[in-house]
Amino acid sequence: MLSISKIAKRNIQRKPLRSFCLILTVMLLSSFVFIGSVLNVSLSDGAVSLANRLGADVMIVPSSYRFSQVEGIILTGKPSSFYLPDNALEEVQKLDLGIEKISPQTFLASFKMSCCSYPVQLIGIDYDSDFIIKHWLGKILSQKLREGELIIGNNIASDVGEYLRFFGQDLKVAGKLEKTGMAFDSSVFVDRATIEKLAYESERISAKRLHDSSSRNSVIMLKLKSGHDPEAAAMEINRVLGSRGIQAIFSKSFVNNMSQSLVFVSRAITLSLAVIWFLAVIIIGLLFALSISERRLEMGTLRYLGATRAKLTRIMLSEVLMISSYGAILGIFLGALVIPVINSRVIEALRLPFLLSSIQFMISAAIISGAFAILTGMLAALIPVLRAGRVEINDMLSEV
Amino acid sequence: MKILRFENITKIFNSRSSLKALDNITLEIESGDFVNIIGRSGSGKSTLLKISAGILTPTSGEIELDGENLANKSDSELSRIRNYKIGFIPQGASVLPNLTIIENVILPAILWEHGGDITGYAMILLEKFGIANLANSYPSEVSGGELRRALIARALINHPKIILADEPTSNLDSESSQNILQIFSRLNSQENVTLLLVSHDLDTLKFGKRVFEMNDGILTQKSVL
Repeated sequence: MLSISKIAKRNIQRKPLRSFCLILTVMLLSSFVFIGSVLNVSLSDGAVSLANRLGADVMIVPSSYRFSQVEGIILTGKPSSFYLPDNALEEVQKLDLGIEKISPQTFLASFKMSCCSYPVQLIGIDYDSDFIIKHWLGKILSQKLREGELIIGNNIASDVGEYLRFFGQDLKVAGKLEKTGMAFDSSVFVDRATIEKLAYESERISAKRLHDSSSRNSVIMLKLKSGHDPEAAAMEINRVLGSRGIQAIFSKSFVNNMSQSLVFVSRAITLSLAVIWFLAVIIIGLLFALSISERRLEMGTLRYLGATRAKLTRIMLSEVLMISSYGAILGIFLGALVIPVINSRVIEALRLPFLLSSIQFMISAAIISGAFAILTGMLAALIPVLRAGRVEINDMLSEV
Repeated sequence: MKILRFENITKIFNSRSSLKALDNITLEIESGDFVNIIGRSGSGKSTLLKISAGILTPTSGEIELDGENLANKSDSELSRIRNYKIGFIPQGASVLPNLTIIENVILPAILWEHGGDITGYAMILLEKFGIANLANSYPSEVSGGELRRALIARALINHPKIILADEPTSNLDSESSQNILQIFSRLNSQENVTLLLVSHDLDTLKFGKRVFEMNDGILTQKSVL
């Protein structure tokens, strides 16, 4: 049975090339909005995740490492083995910084492993003093991490209960972390005794000492008591211990530095979206104006047969709605196909933590992006449609 | 019963120079009447028809259709009158090319959601005019005469009070023209359909109960059958 929507559908089918161009325009808009919003939120979530997981106010690292190197290791960099000078932990503890908590970590890069196509970062934590990693390990581990056990990052291809071999030692997987968007996703966490053993085995197998000193501490994490300024504490450490091969980094500088990059990326995405939106409005508006001007006689026919101005507008807007809906749905499918590719490439390309948004957010983003694209299509066509509705019937029929 | 009443209708088009298309026209059409207005191109007959259909508004004078004054009606009210009371057949092939013949015929009934078996009635009309076999064809697939018959079917679909036909035989060969005029004649004589037909074709002179001539906007009666 004939209906308003059927008339609109026939109009779409009648000019396949023009309809294709309109659908393509809305599809691109919808997919860009979808991908852009997921990208923005994923980067933002990655930054929040990093800020939460760093947890420390000050990080102490060997002074031979530049800020960008440390940042690279923490965020996305290649696994590294690096160590602080002897007694660094004790010397920092002696300073009057207002330390509330202090905990060392040991970084050890594995050789190439069967589980992964890249070396893995092994991180040894001092379970008794740790105030950062233990907290979120605790969410997946009911008891203390024992010697010979490990917790694996989300990118490590193994499951709980399986064994992974590092430096000839079989270690049992006690838990697997959720995705963090940082280098932790490709890291393995063990306790202090296990990392000592692995470091020893590493030196034995490679027949090369990891470090001249006997220290196994790579990073020292500091949390200050309330009221103490982390920046001032970092400066004090650098003043007193800088000559000892130690440097203190004010942790928030990671997040601040990253925030600048995030703002830049976010602005680039927003600007691209604005340009695409503007182009979409122009293209849709022009194509519809052209389509309407070609169909003046048909509109005149509908009017003298009894269609009110409002009904004529409804028929034309139904057509826009259909085209926009087709485009929006296809755009969301395209976005859903592209997002997983972006997920794996974005860390590499942007060197920023990327925490892919939850499925709930992505569904919401898809719906909002689709609605936005449909609304844009309707808005772009509104002016030519309303203008057409105002034309007198006799003028529409003047071509007869 | 009066279906259409013109009283002192004047229409002046204001373009570069004022053009008086209709000059003080007074005419009454009763139910079951068949009025035929002939005149050369530009004489004002199409203007008269469009004013009757509420497509144009007169500069002065009064027009009543089925007891309703068309002056000062809203767009919605005029649209309803056009849909329910008028079967308008304009010049040329005024159809929606992407709808089939049957869909074009039922289109006026869809616009105001008339109830009943619309498609069944449309098929009856197409059968009556000998084009039922073309129901699912597209306008581009049928001849000019067949399309004109489809337009008559479309004009009848909502059981209007009056059929207004503008040059219904233009661009048709003489056989098709005769065929169309005979359809009008039968509709009037057998089904009492009220008709107002305007044409420049002198062949139409022998059709209609009353024949008028339009000359420079002035209407004069030529004959009464």
